Amino acid sequence: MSTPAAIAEKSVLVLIPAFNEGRSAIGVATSVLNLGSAYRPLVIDDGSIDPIDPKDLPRGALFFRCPFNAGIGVATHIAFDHAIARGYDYVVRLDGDGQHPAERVPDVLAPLLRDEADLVAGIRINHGQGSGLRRMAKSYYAGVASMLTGGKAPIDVNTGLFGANLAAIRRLSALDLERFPEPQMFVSACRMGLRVTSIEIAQSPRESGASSLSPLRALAMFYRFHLFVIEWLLESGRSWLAR
Amino acid sequence: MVLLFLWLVRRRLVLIDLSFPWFVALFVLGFAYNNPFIDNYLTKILMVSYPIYAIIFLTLFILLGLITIVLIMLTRDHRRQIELLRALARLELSSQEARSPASAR
Repeated sequence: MSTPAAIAEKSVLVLIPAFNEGRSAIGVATSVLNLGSAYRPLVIDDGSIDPIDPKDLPRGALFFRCPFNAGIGVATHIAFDHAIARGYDYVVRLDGDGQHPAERVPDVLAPLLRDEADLVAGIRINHGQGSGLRRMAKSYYAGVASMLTGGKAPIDVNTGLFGANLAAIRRLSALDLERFPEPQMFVSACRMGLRVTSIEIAQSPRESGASSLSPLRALAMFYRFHLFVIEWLLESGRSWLAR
Repeated sequence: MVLLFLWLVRRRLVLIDLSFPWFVALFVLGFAYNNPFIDNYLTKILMVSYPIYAIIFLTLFILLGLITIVLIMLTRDHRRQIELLRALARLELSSQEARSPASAR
């Protein structure tokens, strides 16, 4: 795939977190390297039971293995830390299960390159199809996020595909990202005054592994998001009273 | 209970520092159970009919307090663990970048 001239002068760190998705994560890293020399894949094995062998990764890919399952938030922090330390221009996150098409990475970067946005979300147009509960949950998260941000948050705040410029990375790295950090990250980005936009993507079927979102974890994610909302409401109430 | 606790500490299953709140809780409970003055005082301030209810309330309060203390300790340890992990990742990734710079690909 050809690399647009504007990208060729930039450096893009592509985070690929993987938990028991070794085979597909290696494929995603290869696809990222095929995009051009500006792209540097960073595969983070988040404490998989069957660990990824770094020798299986394509040459040029960075690799780190967490000795335990620390969560996607920690993997995101590791990528942000590295991007800041090495001065990467952009960070893009793709899931290691191959559900996010690597060939759409340049589209995610396009609004960042045009300086129209600081953070770009890849909203999944086919996510939750056929599952009433998933659709309901997605609408609920989107509704609450929209209410909190005055309609600035993307309509899919649970998407794992996003791209951010260095300014956004610096601001977002101050957050406390844990497991399933996406809704908190997008809402916080809007509240910080970062320019958030989105592009539509079609999510591919999972190549390997299973979703880490079990019913119990979904409940924990719901709980975490609402604690974040309560904290936000308290903070807003305090600043309103101070005025 | 105290013997069980000592056994856990001796077997290195419980850290001495972490066991301190448990030791204090056992001491407070034991003292409260055997002191009629404290029982009567708690019965009065908690506005319950019998001293045994006051002791049950005190036990539940201490248990919840202990759980909260353990949660705080675990949270602190988890945060330190994550900080160490991030520092380790920074070192490891920097060394990989030095071995295989992006421009060399």
